[in-house]
Amino acid sequence: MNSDKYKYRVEIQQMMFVSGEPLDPPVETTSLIEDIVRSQVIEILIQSSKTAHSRGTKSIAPEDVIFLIRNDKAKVNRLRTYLSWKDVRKNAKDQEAGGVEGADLIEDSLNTSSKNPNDLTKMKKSKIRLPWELQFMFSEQPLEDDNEELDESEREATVASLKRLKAADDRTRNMTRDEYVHWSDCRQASFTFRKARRFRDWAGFASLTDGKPSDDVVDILGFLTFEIVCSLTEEALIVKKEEESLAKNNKQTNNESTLQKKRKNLFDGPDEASKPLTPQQIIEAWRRLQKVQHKNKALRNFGGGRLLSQTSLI
Amino acid sequence: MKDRLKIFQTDDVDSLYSMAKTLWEKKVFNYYLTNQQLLVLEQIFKDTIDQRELFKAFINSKIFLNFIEKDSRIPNGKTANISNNDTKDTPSSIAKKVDTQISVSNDINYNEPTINNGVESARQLALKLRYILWDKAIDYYYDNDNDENIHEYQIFDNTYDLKETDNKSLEVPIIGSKPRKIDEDDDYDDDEDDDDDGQEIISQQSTENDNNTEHRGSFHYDDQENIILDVPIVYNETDVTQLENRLLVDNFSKIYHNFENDKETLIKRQKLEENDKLLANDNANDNANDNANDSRNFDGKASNRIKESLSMNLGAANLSLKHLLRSIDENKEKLHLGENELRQLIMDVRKNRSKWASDDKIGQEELYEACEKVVMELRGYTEHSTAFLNKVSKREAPNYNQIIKKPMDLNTILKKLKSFQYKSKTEFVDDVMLIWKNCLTYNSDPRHFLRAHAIAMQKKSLTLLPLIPDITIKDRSEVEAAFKEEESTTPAPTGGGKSTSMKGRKRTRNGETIINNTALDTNTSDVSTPLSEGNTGASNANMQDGARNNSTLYPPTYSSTPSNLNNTKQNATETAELEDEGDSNEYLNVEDNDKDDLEIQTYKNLTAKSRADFCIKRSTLFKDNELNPESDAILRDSKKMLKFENYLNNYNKAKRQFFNAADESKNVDNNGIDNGSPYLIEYDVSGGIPSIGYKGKDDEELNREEYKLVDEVLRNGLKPSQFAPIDGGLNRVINNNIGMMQDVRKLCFKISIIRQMQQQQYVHHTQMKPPEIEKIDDGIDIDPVSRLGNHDKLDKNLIYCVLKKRVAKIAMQNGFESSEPFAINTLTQVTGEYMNNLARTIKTHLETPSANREQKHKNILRISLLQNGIMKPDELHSYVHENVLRQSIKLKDLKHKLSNFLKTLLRPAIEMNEKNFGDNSEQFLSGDFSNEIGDDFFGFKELGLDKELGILGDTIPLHLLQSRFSADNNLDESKKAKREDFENGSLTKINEADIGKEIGLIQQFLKDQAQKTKLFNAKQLKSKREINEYLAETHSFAILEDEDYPKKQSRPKLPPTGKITPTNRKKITLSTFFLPEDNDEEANSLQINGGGGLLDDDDDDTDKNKLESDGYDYGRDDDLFSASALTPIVEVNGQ
Repeated sequence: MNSDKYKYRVEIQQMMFVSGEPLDPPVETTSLIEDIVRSQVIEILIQSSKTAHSRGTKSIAPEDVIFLIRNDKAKVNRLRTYLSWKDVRKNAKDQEAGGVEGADLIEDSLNTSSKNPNDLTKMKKSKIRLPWELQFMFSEQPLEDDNEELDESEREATVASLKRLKAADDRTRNMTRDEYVHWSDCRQASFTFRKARRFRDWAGFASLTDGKPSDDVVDILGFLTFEIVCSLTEEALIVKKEEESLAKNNKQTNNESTLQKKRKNLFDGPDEASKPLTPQQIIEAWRRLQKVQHKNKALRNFGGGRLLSQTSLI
Repeated sequence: MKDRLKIFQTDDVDSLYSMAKTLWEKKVFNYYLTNQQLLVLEQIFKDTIDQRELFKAFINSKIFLNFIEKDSRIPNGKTANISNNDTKDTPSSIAKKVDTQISVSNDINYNEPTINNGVESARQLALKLRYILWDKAIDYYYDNDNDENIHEYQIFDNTYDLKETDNKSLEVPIIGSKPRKIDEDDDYDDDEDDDDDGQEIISQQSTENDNNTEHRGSFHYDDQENIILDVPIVYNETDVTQLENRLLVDNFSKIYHNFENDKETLIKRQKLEENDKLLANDNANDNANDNANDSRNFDGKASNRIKESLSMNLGAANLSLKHLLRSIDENKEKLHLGENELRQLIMDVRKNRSKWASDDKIGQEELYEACEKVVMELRGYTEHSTAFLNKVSKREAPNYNQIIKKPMDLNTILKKLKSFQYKSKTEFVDDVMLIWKNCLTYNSDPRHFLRAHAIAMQKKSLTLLPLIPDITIKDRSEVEAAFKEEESTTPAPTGGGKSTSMKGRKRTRNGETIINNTALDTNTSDVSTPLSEGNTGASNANMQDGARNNSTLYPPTYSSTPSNLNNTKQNATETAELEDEGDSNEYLNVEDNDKDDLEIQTYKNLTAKSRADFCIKRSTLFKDNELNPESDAILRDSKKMLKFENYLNNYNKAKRQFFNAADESKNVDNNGIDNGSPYLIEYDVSGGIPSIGYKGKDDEELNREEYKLVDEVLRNGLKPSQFAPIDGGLNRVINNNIGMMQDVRKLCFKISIIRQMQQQQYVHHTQMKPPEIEKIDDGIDIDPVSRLGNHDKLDKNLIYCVLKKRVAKIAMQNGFESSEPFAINTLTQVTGEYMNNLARTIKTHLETPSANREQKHKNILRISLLQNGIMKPDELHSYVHENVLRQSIKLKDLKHKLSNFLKTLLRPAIEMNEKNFGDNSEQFLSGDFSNEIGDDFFGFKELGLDKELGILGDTIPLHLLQSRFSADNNLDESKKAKREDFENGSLTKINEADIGKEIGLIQQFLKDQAQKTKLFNAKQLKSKREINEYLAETHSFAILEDEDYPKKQSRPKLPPTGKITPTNRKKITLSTFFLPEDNDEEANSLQINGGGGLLDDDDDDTDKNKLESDGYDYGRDDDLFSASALTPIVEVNGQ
């Protein structure tokens, strides 16, 4: 039963490792995270199929999913980057496959891409146009797409991504070479990569959506699930830190004297065996992430009554 | 002055007596006391000798009242007694006999005594008297302005003089003053005697003399030493008749009436109203019948109209025109009109024909109108009428039917009236009186409460009944017959004969008869002429009437007998007397009904209706024993306040005049009486509220202020209000953005039109219509009037509208071309809610009692923002930056791109005139420039195209341009003739021999080409020998162009899967077959090329150097012209 239900223990462990949890978390924790992730995926699917329906289509398009996280611009931008790289990877694969014969068109594009990979990124990125962007306000769009200017949102995104990179850098600073290899392996972990079918079964796609969602949607979901696990872990780590500092404070106040007496010996074990994340911490992190934002309830401030809120997407 | 009140403190009987005496002579008591009480007083003051003693005894309650029921013999129509009593009023008694026999015969002893014999009642009366005296004195002393109350003063002066003398000269015996007073009294008595009514009393007195003589001089004393005063009870017309009703009304104010009677009054009123409703229902049922009758009578009406109007009489009118007649009567001296003219005028004033009018029945209208009025009046007399409105039900009185054989009630009478069942006044009067009689018969117990009501109603009806003209309804045909007989002699006394007017007739009796006579003369003469003309119509109507009423027999004509002048004269006097009696009856009525107090009783009767109205109004204020929030507020009403003030002002005056009442009663104008109903101060809640110190501003003043402001504005120019959008800041950016969006939309429209034109042959011109885009007008401000200083700047509606405008703009800025009002309203409300929340949050934080109070305003603002969803103020900045500023950059960019795109779409057309317009290609396209140049630059309007195409602007409609596009394109190409021209030009082929003539640089190329051509040509030949020959011999041939070679098939590509699709295979099998020569050729060519089959075929076309390989290529191309897909296999085979 247990083994049936939870299929992503390894992946979740890897993701948690990437986001800063050095130890192998217990099964309970990963199971809990998996449950949370699944509920989030289901929520995403339901909400995006709702938008798809209001658009008049049955199957979920990538835009529908992106629409749900549109307010988190940094995330949207990362997602775009991710998707464009995915395209690149796919194209490269195609090229690999047909490269023996040497298809002209692809070669051309390949040549250019090999010369200037940045250009390619941009070009690919521009392919993912979000319908709420400014130009879709109008009935006609210009044909050629050479948006050279760096989007402001991208700037924001770059700031965010720089932060993330810094965090990752901090985490990997003290790693040995092997560890780093392991770490970067872990970064590859995904719920969907090369196991799209398993993912579909796991999330119950069949019962949730009418049409079969495109690969893109699954990829986006893969990306999002990764993000969910990461943010959960990060939040849980904060919780853990707070708990520890609290406990420490308590301890200090309780038996200050005993601590002072204790002397460190060479063969003493580590001061405090660091413990992996517990389910409680995950739950607390989940609670914090689900807290209703002020802006979502501002209009009800003086109105009274029960505040209806949806599960917010992490 | 206050010492004067000592009279009351010391109980100075003498002065009291003199006061009472004075007052008595002034008939003041008539306003206060009932008839019976008056009789007692009369008895006292009448006693010329022992007056003083009697009064003393009376005022000290030492009198035993013994009423002698003298009248007990009178009732039941003993006219002899009546005439005895009313010795002087013979005409009236005759009138009674003749005219209202019924009323007299039914005159049961209704005057039940309200005062019993004995000491107690005397005491009460004495108390009452004291009260009156005290009341008068108070009135006098506490009157603030004494300027005009000379008359009043005198009254008291007498007493005070007297009193002063008493005080001053104690040695003067009291007796000394006594005779003087008696003398005075005697004088007064003489005055009284002069009075008509006084005579009456005297006469009564004389009749009583037999009984009372022995009491004179020496009184009878009972065992308690009380003087026994025998008071005869006489039913007479006392001087009360002379009292003005309004004087009584004046006295209402002296007592504060509480509301205890209201409920009763209200209930009675409501019952009456319910009854009215019931009747109304009946009427509705009857209406159908009436209508039928009306239509039937229509012809007759038309023909007899004149007659009808002339035979009208004032008898019936006098009820409806009561007030008019009275005032005319009062002012008769001022009028310079003859009685006759006056009469005519009144006739004119009279209402039109009533519903009772009938052409066939003479007198019906008059009789029924009067009857109905009487019934209504009786019904409206709610104080007593409630019990008689409806039939007595069995539940109320099970044995009623056994006792009463012929039940009757007011509603039944009304119904009978409506069904025209009465033929004469007598019948009607019989029915009315029957009601009271029934009641009195059934409720035989003298204490029964209904008896009192019945008696009251009886009296009321007795006052009213004489007003009904004594008419017997006659059939017209009979009257006509009578007319024919009597035409020349005397006027027929139809309804007209009994004409009466309310008052003053007594005075001018003689004149009256003459008038009547003349009136009747004209009447008959006028009547006779139309009668003959309208004979047919009348007879027609008669027949119909007969058919309708065949069950009811017409009574014999009552007054068809010739009557003479005497008759009419008598009639006049009769009616006049009757009126007198009626008036007096009214008062009898009032007086006898109250048990003890005349005032209250009058008050109750007169104000019943208005009090009920007040009660109803007041009852709306409450609902389920709680205040009713829905009801109208009690507002101060200027009219009511004026009334109140008038009332207060008049109060003093009235009081003063009270003592002059007898002389100046006419000058006392309707104090407090307004529209017939007295002013009730107790019920006027709002009238007495004092005015507020702040005067308020009336409309005029407000207008003046506003005009002043307007003038100022006109002088200084209109300033924009604070609601006007500011040009600058974010607003300008937003406006810019919106403008740019609109530009982009225009571009988009053009692009889409061009796309459509590319796809479709014809584009309908409706599609061509450019979207009407209104430039956003930021100059709009609130209207100038609202900008004036005196208008509320925080008016909710105003602010809402301004906010709505802003919200709409933001919606526009976010890409909505236009928006539904509903949506904008919703958005505005949400915005308002949010802003309200924000403000409330700030307020809450500012006013918090907690420690946070010490926070700086900045922090408060920050936390308020946080609680309303703005995590930090930076978010606002970033919002503006992201959504407004960056939007404008993006829009600019987009616009640029789109216009470029449009340019590329339009390139051919634009190029032609590019010189003229430079970059402004759009201008050219749309003809926008014509706006700048001037009106009707293209002459569209002149051509009438604007109407035909339905365009308003000066821009060229796009579909007109369309044809020009194509024409321009053709022209363009032929003129410029670029590449294609050169291509079309014939070029001479170059022979191999001529290679040397060409440019050296190209010679090598040409040689190669020549070689190639040679090989190609050789290949065309059949055998190898021929080829060799050809190659050796031919030297002169034209070099072939590249195009001339058969097309080389490029190497087929495999799909990424590496599989050959079945469709390709099919093609192959269908179109390939191998010729043996081909194989040979293949082999040959292979040999020639020396295994060049594996050469890379990427660079085949350009590389002309490898001729061998070329040859191979060509050959192979020939072989496998269409079977390209199989070449790899062939190659493999070949190898």
